[in-house]
Amino acid sequence: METIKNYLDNVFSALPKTAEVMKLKENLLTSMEDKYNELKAGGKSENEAIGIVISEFGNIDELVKELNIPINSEAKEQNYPVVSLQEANEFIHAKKISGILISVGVFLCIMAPAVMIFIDGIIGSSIFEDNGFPLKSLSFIPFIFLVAIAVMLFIFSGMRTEQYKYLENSFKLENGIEFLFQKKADQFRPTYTLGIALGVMLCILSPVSLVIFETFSNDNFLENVGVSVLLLMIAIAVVIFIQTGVTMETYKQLLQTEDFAPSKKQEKNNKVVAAVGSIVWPLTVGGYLLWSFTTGSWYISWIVFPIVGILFGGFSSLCNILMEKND
Amino acid sequence: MISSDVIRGYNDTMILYLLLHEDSYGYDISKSIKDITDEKYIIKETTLYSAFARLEKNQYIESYYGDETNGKRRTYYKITQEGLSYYNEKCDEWKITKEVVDKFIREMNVDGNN
Repeated sequence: METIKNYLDNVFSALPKTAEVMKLKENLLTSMEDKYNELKAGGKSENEAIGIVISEFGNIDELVKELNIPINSEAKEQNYPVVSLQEANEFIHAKKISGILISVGVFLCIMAPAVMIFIDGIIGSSIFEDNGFPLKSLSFIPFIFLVAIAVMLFIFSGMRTEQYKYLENSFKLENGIEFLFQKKADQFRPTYTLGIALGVMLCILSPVSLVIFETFSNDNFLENVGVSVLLLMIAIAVVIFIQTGVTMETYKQLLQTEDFAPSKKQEKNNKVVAAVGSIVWPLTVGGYLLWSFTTGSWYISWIVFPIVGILFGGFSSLCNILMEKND
Repeated sequence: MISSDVIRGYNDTMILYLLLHEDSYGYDISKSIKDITDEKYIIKETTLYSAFARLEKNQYIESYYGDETNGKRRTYYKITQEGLSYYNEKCDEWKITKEVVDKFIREMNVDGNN
């Protein structure tokens, strides 16, 4: 008798546990037990009886089709890795550290030209002014140094989250812990909004430093300082964007909402953007260095980064819109 | 053994026939089908219950819980007025079907002559 029950449990394991399905299962069980009892009463052995009952069961697909039971995602999800509370917390921690590493790296990348322009300003206005090229190129040393540290930080950051790569695919949170992260995400939302607002404000205000330094002096040095301050403000804004963005993204990834909702289209789309990005950005850096070194226009050549950044952002959004239309 | 493809369209008819006299439940119906056909046709459990689902959806039968016996609550089925007229339609349909198909069936004589 237990065998029949187990058999039915097995057959029904892939089906949703709706009232309709449960009633059906109960009816089938009663019916099969009736048949089993009668076979036993008719002198069949237990094994024979069970064999006959199961061989006369039929095919569950027939019922699934007739009742229009959705062979649900829940059944498929049972094959997904289950993420425990501890694992999820470790993931949040790893993302936090990797976020810090990335934001420091990006900060250094933006500050590298700022420092260089600043040093250029000092050298340019100093008594060494006419000492020629060798001294001028001194400012390039901290630039390279800062970028090198940044690259190292990016690599560390990537390594830190490497082991959680499987969370980019579909997974299932342990029963009942989803609401914990939902709550955390909700609590974080005001901070997130404030961060974005602050960052945007800094970006908008950043050119003001240029205006101030240019109005109060026509000194070449102070003009350079103005550019450096502008870059510093943008760098701070970017750090805020990354910090708040990464935290929010971590919750979204755990809850598998928005960009992290199981959808292949999104993946494909991101791949296109990532592929283009991996070509565009090194080219931009190359172009920046080439332009700057050949013409010595360090004071203005940094402009390629915001320009390419805006164009790339536009391209990425366009990709998203086109992909959505194709859906 | 009868192929389930051939008989599919008439499972409903058999079930409705058995419900004409009195209300019944799953195992009783499948047992009756087996007995009446001299075990030439044994309806599968899933076939039976998908037929119940289909008939109930079309309002040809109604289901209700019977009295509890030995801790088991059986679901009983009852034919409706619509079910009765559907049954009559199916009977007429079968008569024609049988007539048509019979025209193409070659009777084998016992002595082997056609």
